[in-house]
Amino acid sequence: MRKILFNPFRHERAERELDDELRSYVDELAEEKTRAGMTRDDALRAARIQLGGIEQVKEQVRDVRPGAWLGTILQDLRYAVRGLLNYPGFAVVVVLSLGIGIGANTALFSVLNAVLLRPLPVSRPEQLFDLSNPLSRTSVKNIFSYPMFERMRSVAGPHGIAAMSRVATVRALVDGDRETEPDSVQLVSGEFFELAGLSPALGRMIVPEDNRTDGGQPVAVISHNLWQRRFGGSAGVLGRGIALNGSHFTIVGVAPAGFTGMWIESPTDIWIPLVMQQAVHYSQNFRSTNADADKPWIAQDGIFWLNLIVRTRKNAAALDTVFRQWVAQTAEQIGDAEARRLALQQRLSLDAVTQGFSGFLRRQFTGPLFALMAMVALVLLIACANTANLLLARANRRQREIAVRLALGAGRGRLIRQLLTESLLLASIATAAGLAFSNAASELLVRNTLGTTAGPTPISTGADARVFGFTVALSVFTTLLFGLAPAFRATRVDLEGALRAGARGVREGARINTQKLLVVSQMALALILAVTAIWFADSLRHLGNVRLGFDKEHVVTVWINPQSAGYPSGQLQQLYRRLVESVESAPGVRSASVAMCGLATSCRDISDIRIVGYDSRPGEQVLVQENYVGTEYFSTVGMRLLSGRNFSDRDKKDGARVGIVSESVARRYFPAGNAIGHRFGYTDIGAKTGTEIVGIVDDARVNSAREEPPLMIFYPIQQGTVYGGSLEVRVTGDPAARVPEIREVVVGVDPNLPIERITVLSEQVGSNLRQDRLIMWLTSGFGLLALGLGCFGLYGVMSYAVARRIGELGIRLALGAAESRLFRMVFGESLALIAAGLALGLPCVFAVARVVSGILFDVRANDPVLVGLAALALSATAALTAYFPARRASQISPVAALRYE
Amino acid sequence: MEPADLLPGTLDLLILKAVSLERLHGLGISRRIEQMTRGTFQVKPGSLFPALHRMENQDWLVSEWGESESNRRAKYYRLTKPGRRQLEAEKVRWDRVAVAIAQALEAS
Repeated sequence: MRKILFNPFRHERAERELDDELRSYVDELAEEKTRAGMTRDDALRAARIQLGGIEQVKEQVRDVRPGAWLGTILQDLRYAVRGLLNYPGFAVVVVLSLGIGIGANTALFSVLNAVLLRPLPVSRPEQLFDLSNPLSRTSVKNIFSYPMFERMRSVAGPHGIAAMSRVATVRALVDGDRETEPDSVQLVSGEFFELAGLSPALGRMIVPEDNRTDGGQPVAVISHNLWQRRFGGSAGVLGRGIALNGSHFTIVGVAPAGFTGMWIESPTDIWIPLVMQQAVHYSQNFRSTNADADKPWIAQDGIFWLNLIVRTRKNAAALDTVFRQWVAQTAEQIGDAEARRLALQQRLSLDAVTQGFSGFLRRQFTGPLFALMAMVALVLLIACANTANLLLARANRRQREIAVRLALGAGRGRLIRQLLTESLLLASIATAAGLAFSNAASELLVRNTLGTTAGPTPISTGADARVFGFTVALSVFTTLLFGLAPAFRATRVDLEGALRAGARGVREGARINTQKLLVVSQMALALILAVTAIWFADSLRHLGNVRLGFDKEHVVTVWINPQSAGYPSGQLQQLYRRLVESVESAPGVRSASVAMCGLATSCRDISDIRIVGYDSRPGEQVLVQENYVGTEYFSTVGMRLLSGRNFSDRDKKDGARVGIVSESVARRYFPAGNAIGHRFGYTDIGAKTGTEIVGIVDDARVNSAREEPPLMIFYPIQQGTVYGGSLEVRVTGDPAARVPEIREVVVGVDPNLPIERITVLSEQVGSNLRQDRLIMWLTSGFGLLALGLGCFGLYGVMSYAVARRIGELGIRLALGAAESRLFRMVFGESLALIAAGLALGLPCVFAVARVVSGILFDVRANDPVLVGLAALALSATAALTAYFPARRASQISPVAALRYE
Repeated sequence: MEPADLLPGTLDLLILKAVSLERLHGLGISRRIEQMTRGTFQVKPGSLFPALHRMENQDWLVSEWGESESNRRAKYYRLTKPGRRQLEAEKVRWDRVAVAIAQALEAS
């Protein structure tokens, strides 16, 4: 080993000795021959001939030296660096195009890694499973009640199961601070941290003893991140008080660094025991049957709000038994016989959560991420083709040099290795450049899609071993892709031909063909990317123009949270009335209304209802989205009442229950058009005396422009005890200008009412399209890049072809060929390449169309107009590029051309 | 008789044998091999020098600079202890191969 390490450094001496040794060999041989009667000169010459090439012998000796490989690599590297410095323009172009390719791939892969691949930072994450409750078919999935959790714990044991709520945002106020801060909190059972196998960075975790007394154990564990951010990492944090939504807690521990909870899109700052649900007014992502959501949830069997995590599958059968016992007990309440039969057939299932829980993030991101990933892979392919082309062109200029090296005894294998070293060096520099921007790019990507401009990135996309491995593999793969063929081509030289001055190697024709083939595939790839970009742009255009069903202009939304302020439900109606009255009396306000759920947000309440007069198929669920709204709601947000009547003050709290349905509900369940007057409810019996349909409103995309209008039912807010989440205000003129006044008025009504934010509705609707807009920009960018690289490739190859044929063109001119004819000849050749590229690309485009159409909005992916548009744009740009080499060909002066030879 | 190509594996054996009696320089080794094989094998420099350097790296040979018969500086190679052991091992191996080949050719 020592020898291997030191050998390269003893290089000089070893070389000198080898030189001496071989010279002495020649001398001795010559001496022998002089003794045999030759003259001294003849003897020396004969001896040298007998030795063969002295450089070849040396090279053979060098190859058997230990550590020869290291020496050669260093030598190759030196040579490669020199080679690149000799052609800086070439190096810059290659590093830039490959750098963008590799950087974009790394950036997307690190996002993909964070969203889909990275395991949770807990012990043995592959053993963790989420219990899936097959009965919850609404949007809130896999949820259980606390009593169900207790039953399951009794069979799985305290180390086998843990429960957790969703992640909620609370107002946190650290003792001694003045400003509250929105922090994310999760309620967990005492088994949670033990099940995850996490030990505290400081203090202790939440343990089963913390979860005994309902409402009486106000302890909190904070994340390492929050500890650093808000307490400066001080050990004095233990025992500090923190108020969460007005309830006092004591910090008892700090979670280990890197652990941000189980939900990848909602990093958690604070964990508290499940028994504190009521104290922090946790009330989201739940489903209730025969239960009172205003009372503590811990004791109620009918409130489903917990995710259950188990370690290993070993208790699966026992848990399933418990689950089915529970189903059997509750099935009696299911009126419909078929539904009951189906419920009884359900089995508990276990879903692996190795990579953590995710709500919308994985659902929304996976498709686009893979599409973008494929796009950047294509961009990289084009960049590789470009680089290969440049290398081929350069190999031609270096042909004489390579021939000389081969003649002097360099092995072909060695030369190939040397050329590949150069390619690897290029790829490495490009990788370094790419990494520099990929970190920033991936964070930007995440921030833009999730719409968080400040604070810590919601999901960290930092490079880990997997990203690093990906990038290294990518750069090696890239090197082979663009370097191998040129290296083989470049070293296949006809020695005699190449060394003869001015002559060309016989392989050159083949090389030009390779270059043309590369250009054709670049054109094909560029077409695919250009079409994709146009698809996404068209998709976004459709999204922007989609009929919303409400009027997003001139509306301001105040996002209020009376719940986190601990408003008693008895005072809610008064609060709503005062809010609406005060705001409506403000200048420039036309009308105002409170609603449980605001527009274009993730707030949605979905229920399974029974409608009198509609015969559901066996087992069919009638799922509708519900909202509670004020009297002036429809006119405020601009939803059209199609028939029937609006809510009015006559719809009293204890009066007859009324509801207004959306048009699609009316059409779907009352095909005869007689919806008004019918009743519905949550059970078969309840429906008969339930809510009466008094009106029908237009369908509206209330959740997002992207989502189809849901089946909606609206109730008057005075007939429910719900917490209003939004105050919608219709104003005259610019809504943004009204925001400060409206804020002042709302604060004036109750300074303690938390205002989460105030938004302009049109912007809120637009923010739903943030992801689509980002994808549109990205795909357009990639499309343009591909177009640019493709044209660059075409230009390079055609310029080179013209330069190579300068002699021939000159002769043609001298013999009387018209300039226009030469122009047509070269230009025609370019057009043939472009046409071949399009012909190759079109079938691919239609194959891609099938895959990508799922994530496009209202775009028929194989629409010939869009594809034609992209093809036209590509050919026009490419033809423009091809004009220059063609013009150069036609402007050759015959004299100069002949002298060139 | 025409000079024959070396059989694979025999070059090491011949070199080890050549330097087993006294130290020799490069040309000396190839002359000794010619002499030992009565001109059947002629070792070309392109094979000789890589082999010498390889065997030196394997510690079978050591080299030193000395003065040749014609009073020139020359690099001499000498057998080491491991080299002598290697020579014995190669000899045994060669004997076995030679006997085996002879038997194979005699078989009818």
